[in-house]
Amino acid sequence: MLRYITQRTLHLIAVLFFMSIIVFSLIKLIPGDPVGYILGEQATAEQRAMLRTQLGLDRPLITQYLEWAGKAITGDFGNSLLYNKPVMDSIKERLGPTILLAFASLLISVTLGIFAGTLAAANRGTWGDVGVLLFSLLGVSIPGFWLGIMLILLFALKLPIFPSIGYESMFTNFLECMRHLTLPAITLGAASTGSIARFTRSEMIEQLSRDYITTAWAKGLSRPAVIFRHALRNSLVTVVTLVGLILGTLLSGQVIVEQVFAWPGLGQLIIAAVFGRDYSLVQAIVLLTAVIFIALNLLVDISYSFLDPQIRLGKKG
Amino acid sequence: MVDQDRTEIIMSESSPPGFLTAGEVSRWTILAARVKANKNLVVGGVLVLIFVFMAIFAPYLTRYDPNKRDFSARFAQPSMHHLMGTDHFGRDTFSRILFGTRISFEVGIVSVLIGMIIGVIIGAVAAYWGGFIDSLLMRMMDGLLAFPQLLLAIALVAFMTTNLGTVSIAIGVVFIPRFARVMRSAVLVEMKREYVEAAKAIGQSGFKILFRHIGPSTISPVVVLATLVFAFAVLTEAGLSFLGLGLPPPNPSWGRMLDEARHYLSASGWTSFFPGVAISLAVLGFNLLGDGFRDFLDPKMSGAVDMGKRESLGD
Repeated sequence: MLRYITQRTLHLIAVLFFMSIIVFSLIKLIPGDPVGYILGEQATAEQRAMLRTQLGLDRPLITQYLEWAGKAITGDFGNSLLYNKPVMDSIKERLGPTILLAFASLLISVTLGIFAGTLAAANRGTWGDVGVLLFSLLGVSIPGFWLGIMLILLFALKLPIFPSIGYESMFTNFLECMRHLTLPAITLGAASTGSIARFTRSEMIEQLSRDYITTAWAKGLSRPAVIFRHALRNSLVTVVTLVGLILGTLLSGQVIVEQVFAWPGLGQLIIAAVFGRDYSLVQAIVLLTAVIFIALNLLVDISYSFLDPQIRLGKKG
Repeated sequence: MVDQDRTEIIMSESSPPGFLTAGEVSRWTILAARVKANKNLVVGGVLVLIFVFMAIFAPYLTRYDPNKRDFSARFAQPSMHHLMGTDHFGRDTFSRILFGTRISFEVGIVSVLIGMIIGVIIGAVAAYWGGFIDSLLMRMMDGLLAFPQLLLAIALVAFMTTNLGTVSIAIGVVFIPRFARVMRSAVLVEMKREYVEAAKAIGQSGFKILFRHIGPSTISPVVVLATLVFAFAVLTEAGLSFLGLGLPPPNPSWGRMLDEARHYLSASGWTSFFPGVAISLAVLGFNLLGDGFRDFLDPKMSGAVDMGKRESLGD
């Protein structure tokens, strides 16, 4: 077990290294002189020189990378040009809304997805099953921004149940916060709900065909007991791995959903940073999101190995 | 919206293909029957063909210039004059969707080609030469794969001036690790076969073995992945345009149409409705076609493509 975790962590460090190189090299994609590009025509020579030093462009490439990476590890990504304060401060301000939205949609997609997938597998071939499959296919095909707009049109404009856009802090007004959260969370969770439902369904179908299920039926166990206590429990082991991958979907989808609902999270921040040519901020957000993503995936994999003895003992799938 | 590992999820679920036992019937009859039994292939193929038709014949299918403004006809409801109504500039939505198909497909084709060519080469080299090269290349691929997909595309366009080429590159780069993984596992499977050993024994060069012998057997999984990834390319292009990071206006990109229309939701819901339908149907079409291809080309393939994921969990 310990060996497995060490192995995974070493692998993660290698991956992190390459990721940091990719993010660092982004700045080299800027056409022409980055300093002139960032500051525009009117900048004085003094301002240019200052930015050049801040970006470290006057030193050799390897030194630039090492310095940048060294600071990045301690969370220092320099100053944001757009907000005129440390990049990390701008990011911290936006973390709350982003985490809230991600967590809410994860909750929706995991509960709804597993529930729908289980029901579909238990009633295989019925209209309900077809409906779940159709829904999951639509879930991954319908773009989040369109779903969001349509939900606003239906449930905020035609039927004014929910507010169309905006954010309310959980701590100032909990009820309002939930009202604002509903539509964005549904929009963001829809695609993942489909994937989880589909995956749970196929996993459940496989489990239901195993011998131990026949035994369970033969023992005279009730239908819910067989389906939920036996088959679903064993299916969940595999479904857990999917949750790690879903997080990537959520982190990507977040950018778009935040834009649709004017949700003040990291997604909106990165768009503002892109338009404001605040490259340190863009780099920091991209790297940080990716690190969060792989760290969560590592946790998922480790918890998975706890659940599945085959992996714990070092045998591969 | 963007499904991180849709390919792997799909690949892990195999449905039985429409096999017939060969009696006296001709090959073509069997082929036709197999295609007919494969609903995904038929529905997906028809949807994709409709969009291909729209893209090619766009100028002949409409009377309106997609960028012609007509302020006397702002927010027209769908009617015989304007099949899908008009937007805030009085531009014909149907024409803009037709011409938007071209942009979606151009970006889709270029980005999938970029991802496929680079990814396939990396995957083949990694699998064939193995050892240190394999570890190095695949760790690099893991690094690329570790970014949430849309975020990586956003980061790439952020640092470039946006045009058809750069948007396609940004989306294509996201696909490289996917193709590399699928190609690598396909080549690894083939390399255990006896014919590779035989080719080695008679002293053929590595490149010759790789291209002439192993190459053809890896086409199926790559084609399946290319189709599935095309769906994602359409979705990502629309997403980038929606965020204002796609092709500059007045290009009638589906995503940009949605972004412009959503500000006039209470004036006209129709203008937001149709571009989304176009995106959804195009994405659905390629998803179904990819699933259909997978079942059709090689019913056993689901396992081979799934290997990429298992390995990443294992090491």
